[in-house]
Amino acid sequence: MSGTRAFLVRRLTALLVVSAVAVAALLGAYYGVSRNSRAVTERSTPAILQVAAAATALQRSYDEAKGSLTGSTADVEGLGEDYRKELSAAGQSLAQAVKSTTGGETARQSLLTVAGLVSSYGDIVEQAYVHRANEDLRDAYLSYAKTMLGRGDGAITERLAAVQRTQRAVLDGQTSFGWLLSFAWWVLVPVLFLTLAGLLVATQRFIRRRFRRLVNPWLATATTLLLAVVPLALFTYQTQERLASARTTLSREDIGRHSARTAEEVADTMRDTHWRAGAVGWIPLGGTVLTALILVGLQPRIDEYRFQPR
Amino acid sequence: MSAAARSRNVTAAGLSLWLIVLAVVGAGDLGGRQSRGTVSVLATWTGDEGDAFRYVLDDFSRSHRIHVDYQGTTALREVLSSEVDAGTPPDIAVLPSSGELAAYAAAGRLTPLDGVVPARQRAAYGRLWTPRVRVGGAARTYGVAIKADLKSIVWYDARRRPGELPALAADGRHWCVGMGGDATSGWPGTDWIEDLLLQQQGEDVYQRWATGRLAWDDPRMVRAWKSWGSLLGAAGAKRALVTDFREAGRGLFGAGPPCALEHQGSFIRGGYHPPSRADFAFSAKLLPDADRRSTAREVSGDFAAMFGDSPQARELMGYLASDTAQRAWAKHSDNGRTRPFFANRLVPADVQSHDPVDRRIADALRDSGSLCLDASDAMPTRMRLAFQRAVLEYLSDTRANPTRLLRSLERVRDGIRGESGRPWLSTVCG
Repeated sequence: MSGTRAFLVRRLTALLVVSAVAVAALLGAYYGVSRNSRAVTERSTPAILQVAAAATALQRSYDEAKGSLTGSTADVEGLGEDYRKELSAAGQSLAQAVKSTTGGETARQSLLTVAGLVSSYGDIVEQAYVHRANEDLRDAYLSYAKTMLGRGDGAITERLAAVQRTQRAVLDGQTSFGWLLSFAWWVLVPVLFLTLAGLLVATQRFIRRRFRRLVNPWLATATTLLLAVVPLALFTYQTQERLASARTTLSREDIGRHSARTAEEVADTMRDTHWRAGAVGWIPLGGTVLTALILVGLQPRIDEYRFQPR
Repeated sequence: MSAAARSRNVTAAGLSLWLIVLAVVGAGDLGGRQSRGTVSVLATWTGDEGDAFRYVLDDFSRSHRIHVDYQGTTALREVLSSEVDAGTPPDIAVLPSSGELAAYAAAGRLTPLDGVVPARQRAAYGRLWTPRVRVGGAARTYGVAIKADLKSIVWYDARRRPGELPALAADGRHWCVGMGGDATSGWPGTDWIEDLLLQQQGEDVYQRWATGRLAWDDPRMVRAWKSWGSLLGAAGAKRALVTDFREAGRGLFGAGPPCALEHQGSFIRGGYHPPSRADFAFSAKLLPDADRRSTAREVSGDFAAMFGDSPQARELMGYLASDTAQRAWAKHSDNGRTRPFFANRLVPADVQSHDPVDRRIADALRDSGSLCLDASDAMPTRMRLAFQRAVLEYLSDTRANPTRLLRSLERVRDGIRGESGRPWLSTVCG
């Protein structure tokens, strides 16, 4: 084998290997961020909002019941329409939360327990209504209902808070960049793509010298294709910014009171990230085109040496 | 080193690495295959108590290679009922109410334990702790009390002389009483009424009432309610109404304690600060109009029952009923806080605890003249809830005659008699 042919075969191998590794690294790094945008929108956001909405509706239901029972219209209004509305909203939010929690089996079981406790809580509030004419008994039942909502470990709000802590930890994992992604985007992807670009430019120079051609159009196109990493990096940066923004929105204290509005806000924030996430499919396609361009660019030059005598 | 030798070494190192990787993967795979299935368990224990019980289950998993999926919930009645209705009950549930156990058995939801827990093991319990329910003509055992508590006791500061207790007990202001208990608020009051009836009228009357064979408005029942109402007085009763049972005994050990005595089950000692300062006397010595010589004691149990019938569930059920499991449970309970007691005669009192107060509780659970299950726990759920609510209503006005409330309770008993699926236990004392 001549020295030129051997060099070209080695260079082709190097280009293909570095391309494969660079495209795989880019795919992993891009997927690592973009997959979270869908998880945040479709799983974490509803799960967190449903638990927050249930906690708020329960607290409001107690305030409404107490207001109705200690007011002057309990005889005609009973516990009041607003109490029933809040209790029903809490029940629906809990039923949804049981199905969609991101906190795993422990959180799901805890929510099932809460659903059971809420049913008993409603029963105790009804008893306060039944005994509305007996102030001591009415206040005693209201105090039991309040204790069920807010006392220590076994109380409803504490159980919901524990589930929420687990779900927020999952959200933090989804929205933080993490050391692996930082390493991939700050070190691995730049080093690999610069190496690939360097190899392509050096190969172009060698071919110009050895074959007296001004430019190999295939290799030039391959080099230009590498620039696609720039918009992908930009998309990643924007997606990450939006993930952080969604996390801030979901960390607000009052999300339970405005859960529909918060859900819309998060959806607006994350809307543009979904088509960007779709770009993950372009990366293998780009990798295939890159490989094809390198092969088409170099293989004819290698073939020129195939039948030359030693 | 020659190039050939170096190459051999590299090859050997590579092969070794592969062998290690294969061994780790193989061991992981084998570990998965070694598990012989999963059993789900539902009980009320959470926190420290839940951890201690989980230890017992882990012990079983290790020795039997069966995974146990434990769920502890304070809303057991609601969670169990929804799981049973959804057709996904746990394999084993531990029920604090023998009445609910009987209802599930009557509905055909439970597997009889006669062939699951060996007769020798059941014999270590006594009849009371392995209640038999008649389903389809045959009476069978459907539950085993894997944990027990003593109820006919009165707690006080151990620095007091026992001799001063009767004088304190005669004045209602010295009793720490709290009715608040979430969805089951009022239950500490049902314990008062039950114990008053037991200590005033004895085991026979108590058993007839607890099994639905004595009218609620019977004069002996009226007497028990009136004794309680007069002892607490209107102000004490109203205070009890808005006090949580978990807070009621906090004042027992202060410098100038607002109250000196608490009528509460053995489990409450774990909530005292510090538990070692509490001692107890039997309630027969202190309750109003009680027979001071009475040796009858009210007790409660947590009954393990099988909703599924897999070989793995049978193994776990046998294990939970064994002294091996209960010894492990006692060993791993946080000393002084959440000490479990057992009705199993094969678990010696000194294994349950070295603490003299705990030892007396353990001895009383095994050696008392007569033990009677908590009556409200043994009643159908509808009756129990009505009883709890009647107690609360009575406390809101103890000057009123309790007969009106007792007649309402009697109507509930009448109503239940005509309903299917709400059985009464045939015996609660033994």
